[in-house]
Amino acid sequence: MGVEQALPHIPRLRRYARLLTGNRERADDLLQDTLERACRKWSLWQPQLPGPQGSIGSGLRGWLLSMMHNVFVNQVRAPPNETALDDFGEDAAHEPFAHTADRLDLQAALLQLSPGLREIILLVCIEECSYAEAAQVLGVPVGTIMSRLSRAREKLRELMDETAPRSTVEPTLKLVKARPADHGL
Amino acid sequence: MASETIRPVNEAALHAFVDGQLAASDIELVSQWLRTHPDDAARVATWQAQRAQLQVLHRDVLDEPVPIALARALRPRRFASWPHMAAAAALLGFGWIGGWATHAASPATLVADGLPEFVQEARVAHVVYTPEKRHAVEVGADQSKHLIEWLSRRLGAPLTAPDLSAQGYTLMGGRLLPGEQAQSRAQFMYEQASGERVTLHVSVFGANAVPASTSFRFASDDASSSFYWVDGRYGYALTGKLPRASLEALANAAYAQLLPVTASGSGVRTR
Repeated sequence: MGVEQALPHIPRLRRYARLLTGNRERADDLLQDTLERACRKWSLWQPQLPGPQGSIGSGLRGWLLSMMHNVFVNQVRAPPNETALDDFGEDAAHEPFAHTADRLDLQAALLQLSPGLREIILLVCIEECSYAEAAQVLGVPVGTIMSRLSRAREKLRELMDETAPRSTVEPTLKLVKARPADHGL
Repeated sequence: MASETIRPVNEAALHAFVDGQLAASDIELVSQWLRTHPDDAARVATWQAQRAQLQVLHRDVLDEPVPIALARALRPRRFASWPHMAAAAALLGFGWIGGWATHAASPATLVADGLPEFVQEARVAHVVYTPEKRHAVEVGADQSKHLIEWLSRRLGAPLTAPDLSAQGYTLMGGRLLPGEQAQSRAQFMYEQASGERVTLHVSVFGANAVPASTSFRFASDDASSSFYWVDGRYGYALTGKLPRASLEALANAAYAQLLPVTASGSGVRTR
């Protein structure tokens, strides 16, 4: 089996790249560069035998995500002329009915995060990487993952609060409610 | 006071709670903590809402056919460019270099190693999906009506999944695949009681991209063998890891069932 094993991973990687770049064309360019890099480096990929079944860090998807991270870092260092927010406007124009206002807010907020914070929140929330896997993909210690994740979540909350004065993320969790007995404490 | 008996929970544990990465034994501990610490509970609820909202973003991309440029990026580099392809074709003595311009507009006929593009796609897809245990097909044969309607709609022409049960092969279902020129392709998968699988890959070519009609052709390498044929706008490739005679029997059965409806491209079709 050769590099064509990566084929089934393309749809998920496309969505990840789309959210990372905020732009359809740039996302597909990023993914194409990633896949070409994967082809060149294919001889380096070794499925690691230990590790839980389906664990992406030891699997091909984790490897491809780390390839994409490397390509993305290089692109961010030498950014194209347009700004991310211009791109976002263009993206929205392509699919005028695809999103609700809330989703547009969230996507806009995502693009205002620094690329490093955006990567970590996408890896953890969308790709559902474990913290150890995310650390492996990004090549940083787990402690760095935790501190970035914390900053990313806080920053996203601030941005969403700004764009939606009447917050749409009202806490609705049962856990939130203090039991009556606790009120007096 | 009950909360004094709870070990203080750090922020990392709150994140792990939200992301489902806490050890089972710690979940109850954090839950107790949140019941008595409303500020942390509010933060956790906000993070959970963020996570849920993020997870629905651009789900549509998952259902889009993969652009061919992306699938092609995974190809070996041997024939990466047009000049190389032209040179290779010349070396192989193909007689249609003079008609290069017209052929360039109908890449369905273009071959890197002598096989039509759609057959190469079929063989890659066979190798990728037949080993799948749980996700071999996208839509199972238990929903065969939906399967046929869906794939027919996506390929833009009525399709049929031939019945190969007389040859001992049961239809498992099918999936949508990317093809050249960003076109959609269909793959039907069949399985024998022994677990042996074969795939029938179906292409519907655009009006000006139809390869020359061919009757049966055979291609084989270490990984698999294929019988393929082009009939009207349809291209079929039946691929499996079988002796040639067994595969040919299956291909004949499929061919016989597909022939009446594809000969004119608009024949009566069972749905």
